[in-house]
Amino acid sequence: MKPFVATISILAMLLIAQPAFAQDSRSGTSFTDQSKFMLAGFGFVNAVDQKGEISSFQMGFNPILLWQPSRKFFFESELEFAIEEGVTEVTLEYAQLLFLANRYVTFGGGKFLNPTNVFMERLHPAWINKFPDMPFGLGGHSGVPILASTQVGVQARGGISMGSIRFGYAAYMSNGPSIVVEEEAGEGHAHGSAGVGTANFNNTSDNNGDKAFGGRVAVLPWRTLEIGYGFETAAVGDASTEFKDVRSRNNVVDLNYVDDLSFLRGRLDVRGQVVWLDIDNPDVHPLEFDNSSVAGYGQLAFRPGIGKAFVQNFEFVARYDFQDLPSQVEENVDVERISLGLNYWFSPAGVLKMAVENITRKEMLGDENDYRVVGQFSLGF
Amino acid sequence: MAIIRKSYFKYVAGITCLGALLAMFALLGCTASRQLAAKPGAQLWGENWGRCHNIRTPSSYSDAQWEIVVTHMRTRANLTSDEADKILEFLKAAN
Repeated sequence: MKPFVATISILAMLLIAQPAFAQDSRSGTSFTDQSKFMLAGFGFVNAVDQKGEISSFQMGFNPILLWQPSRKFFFESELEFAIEEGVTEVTLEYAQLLFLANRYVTFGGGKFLNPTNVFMERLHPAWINKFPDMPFGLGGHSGVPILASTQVGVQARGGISMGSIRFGYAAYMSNGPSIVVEEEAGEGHAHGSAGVGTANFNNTSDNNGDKAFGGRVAVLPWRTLEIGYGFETAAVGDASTEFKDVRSRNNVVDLNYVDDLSFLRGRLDVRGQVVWLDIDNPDVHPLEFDNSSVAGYGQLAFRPGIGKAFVQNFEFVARYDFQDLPSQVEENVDVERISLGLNYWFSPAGVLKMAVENITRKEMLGDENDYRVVGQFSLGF
Repeated sequence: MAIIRKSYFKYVAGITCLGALLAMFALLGCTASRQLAAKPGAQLWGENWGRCHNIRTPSSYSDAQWEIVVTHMRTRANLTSDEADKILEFLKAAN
């Protein structure tokens, strides 16, 4: 999408909605108000044992800096410390300045978690995620990414209640992904790309002037259920090449249901999300193929609400996730996974997780099965 | 390339839908405020905080810390300022 069109569209939407904002006249832009600062975050340690591979421990530490200089301004940032092959790596997970304009809209700018999907934006931190690892296709932590984990750009977001129904929305303009047309030596898969034909989501800079535009609309028909639809469209070809008109489209649907159910005598947590990525076929080598990918997951978690406190701290979880890439993509291995886990919550933000995973890779010569056991201790603060 | 151009129409439609939704929010915003006014902060706290993760007790943070945490949650969970204010009021009272 042309930046001009996208910018005008966002401004038009905000102007249309402006009458609803007129009710909030409270000030709070002055930095002489009480400035507040807080250090939060989480840490975790993983243990992974997979058939045919050497078992290993992994760890991570993610401090989150929250700063509220006034009622209207807010700054949030998360760093990710991890040890990769003996070297401590630091990643800026997000850093965003927010302006809380009024009751229904907040503007943000910087690097922010991708609003098109609930998992990456709200559920992926180790102390929130019910499993020690992430579903396939999201953010590059597991499988081949088909969706950006973060965006670098600007966004407008907010929510509103209409009677008993709530709505949430987000719209953003950002640096877009790029299409991989040749092998990039030394590029890892984490947060990035895989082989030729896949999208590279390392979007701290852009390879063309046509910015990505996306967003999400969610409806909560009642307090326990949230259903969302997210999308993104972006030019992915380098501006100076014959692929300059190639575009990608992400579509995402998600469902979230969390409720204390008396007939089950416990808390049920149901999550589901499917992500589609479609990239144009320019009929030019090496991208002359139908380039469509899909990944998704469904997850159930149950925590008993009866019995002694010790029993109520347990949580039973099950997840099915999958990823399907185009057959022409070099790293193509369609994969699905069934995971069963047992969690023990020491505190609302401290959990010990154990999970057994059955991974099926659909190779050309037949399916290949792997089992792995993953444990994690994580603590939010 | 002509096929590629056709994709623009989908996103013009998408933008139009988003604009229509925001316009609808604008028209119905006043009604929403009255409905929301009936919900106490404790109820809003229970409804919104448990949707993503476990609920922490009000004593987990100081009043000043809750102000920051509630703002963080307001932006992440797309709460209105009225909802956030009521939740904060409840947390401070229960702390």
